[in-house]
Amino acid sequence: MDSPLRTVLMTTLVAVVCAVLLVGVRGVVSASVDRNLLIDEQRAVLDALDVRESGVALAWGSAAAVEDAFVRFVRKDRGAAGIEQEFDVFTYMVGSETRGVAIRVFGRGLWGEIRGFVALDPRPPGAERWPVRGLVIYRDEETPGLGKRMRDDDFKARFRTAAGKLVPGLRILKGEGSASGPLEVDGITAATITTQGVQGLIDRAVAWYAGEAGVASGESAHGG
Amino acid sequence: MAARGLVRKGALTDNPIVYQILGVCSALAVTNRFENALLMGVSLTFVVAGSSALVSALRHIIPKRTRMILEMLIIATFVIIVDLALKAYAWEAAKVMGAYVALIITNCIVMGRAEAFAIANPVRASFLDAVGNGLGYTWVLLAIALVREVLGTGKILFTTLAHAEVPVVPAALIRAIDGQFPLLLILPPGAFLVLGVLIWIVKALQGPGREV
Repeated sequence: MDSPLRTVLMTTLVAVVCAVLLVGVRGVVSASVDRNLLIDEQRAVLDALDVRESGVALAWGSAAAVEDAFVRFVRKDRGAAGIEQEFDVFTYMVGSETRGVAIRVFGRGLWGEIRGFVALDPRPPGAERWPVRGLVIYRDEETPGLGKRMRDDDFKARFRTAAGKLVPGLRILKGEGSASGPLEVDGITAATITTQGVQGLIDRAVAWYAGEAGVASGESAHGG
Repeated sequence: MAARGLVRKGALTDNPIVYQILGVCSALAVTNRFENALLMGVSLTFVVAGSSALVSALRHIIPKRTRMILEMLIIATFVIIVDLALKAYAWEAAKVMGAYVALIITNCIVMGRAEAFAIANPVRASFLDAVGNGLGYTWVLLAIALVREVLGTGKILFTTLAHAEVPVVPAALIRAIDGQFPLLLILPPGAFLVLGVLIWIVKALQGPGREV
């Protein structure tokens, strides 16, 4: 049997060997990992804003295609570059025309935090509500097959401009198949808490954005 | 034992999944896509080969009392290396397989080889033994995934290693079977069925006289 001193020393030595290995590998790959995280975020922004200009294919888009589309059409209007903060705002611009804005927002799902982008179309003149342009969750710990379905195209399609939904006042219903009109959206069957989390994201983003736009202080006449 | 024999033992005659029913959880979890099964197989082979070699190299200084926790530490180190490598060079796959990659730490094959072989054998033999077991795990995964993906979706989809779709069975045929059977294969129970049939076939080919 080894002496206690030797046991402690050798155990520490093996731990140090492992640590050195990890530090080395981390140093080699960290630049690539960081770039992938950034691309992933940019892809989510492009997806939320539904950027479909000049053959930008999101589903299969290479990292280069994502970077290219992001640089050409998206501007970060609020928040610092490279830092992930709630209520960062990304604006989709074609020339000088604003096509939409994506607001980064954090919330809670069933198992952990969910992070996503709520994208809105510009508000039509005189209107009180914004048309919803897109909803993309880019980080979550929801149940595969249930809550995770909020990432599927099927669920995302319910929040595209074509679906004609409006905020504020949009409610995600429990279950599927009963939504009607511009203020109701089908939820996900058997994922009620995840659905509530998504509702929370939308409400937070819209409340903040409406405040920024001056609606909260009754200045909508100027802002419209 | 000769190098060839060590590899052969792990890959075929003492295959960890077929004969020891080890590492089955991940064999079931990632085999609905051929590509993911391939990445998982390569990842596990790397982890088991790397950790076995390092455990073997350090076997004279690893104290007996802290032996298992140190084996675990070494295995975890290699799993994190794989995880980082996937995140750096195969991002899409890393997102799909993230949880399963972390769970390689608990894969019985890896700990099994460290504890049963590497802790008491020279580096070269331990490495070869581990590679054999990794290959044995990989081919079984690939076989299951091939059956599940081809019969479940009619094609083999590549999104990480390449952007390609290899049609194998006409889509019309898949639709014609009403979706139930293909769906069964894609869902987790399909993995159980295919694994069971595979083990049955291998043992039947081997003939009677071998009980494990």
